[in-house]
Amino acid sequence: MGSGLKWRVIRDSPCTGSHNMALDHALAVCSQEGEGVLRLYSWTAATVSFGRNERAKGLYDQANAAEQGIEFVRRPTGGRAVLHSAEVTYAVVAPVRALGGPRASYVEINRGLVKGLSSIGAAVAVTDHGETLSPDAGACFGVPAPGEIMVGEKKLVGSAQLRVGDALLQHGSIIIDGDQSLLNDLTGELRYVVHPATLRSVLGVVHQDQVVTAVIDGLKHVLGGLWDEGGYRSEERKEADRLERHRYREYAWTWRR
Amino acid sequence: MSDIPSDLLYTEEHEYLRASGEEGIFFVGITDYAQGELGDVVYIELPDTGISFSKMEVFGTIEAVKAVSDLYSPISGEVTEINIGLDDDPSLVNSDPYGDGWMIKLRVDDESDLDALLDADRYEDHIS
Repeated sequence: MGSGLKWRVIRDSPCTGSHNMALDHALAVCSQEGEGVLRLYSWTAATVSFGRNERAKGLYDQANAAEQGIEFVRRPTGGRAVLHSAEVTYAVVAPVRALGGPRASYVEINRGLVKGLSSIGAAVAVTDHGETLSPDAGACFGVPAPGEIMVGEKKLVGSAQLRVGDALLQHGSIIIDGDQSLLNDLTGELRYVVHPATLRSVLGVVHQDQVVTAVIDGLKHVLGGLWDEGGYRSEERKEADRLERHRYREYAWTWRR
Repeated sequence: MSDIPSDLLYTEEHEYLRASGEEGIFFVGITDYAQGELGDVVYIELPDTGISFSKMEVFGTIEAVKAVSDLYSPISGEVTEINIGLDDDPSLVNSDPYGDGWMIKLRVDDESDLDALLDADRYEDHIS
């Protein structure tokens, strides 16, 4: 399926969790008819992100996290906890109807990611099984949902969506290295034990730039349209600053549930 | 094929209004088409009773598997009741969107505002 959109690719420098979430959300709020955005980014510090409606209050040892230099943020999107460290994070923003609604767009975007990751040698596939879990059912990389990207029986990419007005945001983590089970240390529970696939375990040496380029090429191939590299518009920066100040940097938002 | 009952009113954002039998009070929920697009609903966040919303103001959020969407008030009014049954079983929105899957009861400020909503035929055109 071709989107027919004009796509802007933003290769961003590493940002804090609050700024990353504010930028993704702002791109969706400022989305324009006929245009799509692919943003690729990383994180200045290891950060646990919670899903929009996930219960986190009282479950995490914040002092322990601070000692380890791990930060927290709450996403605008659904799903469950992810520890972001050695990964490539992507965000796709497009008009809702351009990619065919939330479920259809999930399939299309994941097809693009599979295409890209396959091109660098990762034996990835979209799973047709999995569970429908509540946001309180443990970590994102614990159990796959149908349609997610796997290497064998292990999840490699964790994604989530937000619909805001007429725009759709899907963002997610492509794990290069690291151990999601560090979430255990922060919760003092074993409910988060997870061992997802990593690109390093699958491919050996792999560089972030190589993954970024593969993701761009894969999505370009599947989503079609016109593609160009670019930066942020002034209204996107302004909206991101507003959202970061009033939501993503706020303790009350991060620990709202 | 989505179910579009002929006796309800609809919005382009896929919410519906159904008369409750109490004067000026309507059930609000999302349409069969919307629940089908979202997939399995896992969480719904609703407002407290007594809160008033303007037309198109966000009154809550709904989460399907990983996808969060805002819920928009179809009309200005005050929330008189919320469906607490959705706390235990949010999938009622999938299985019975126009019945047990209702979300809030809204006392509309001005019933003439209902004229701006879509009837079943116009909603069907909108989603086709």
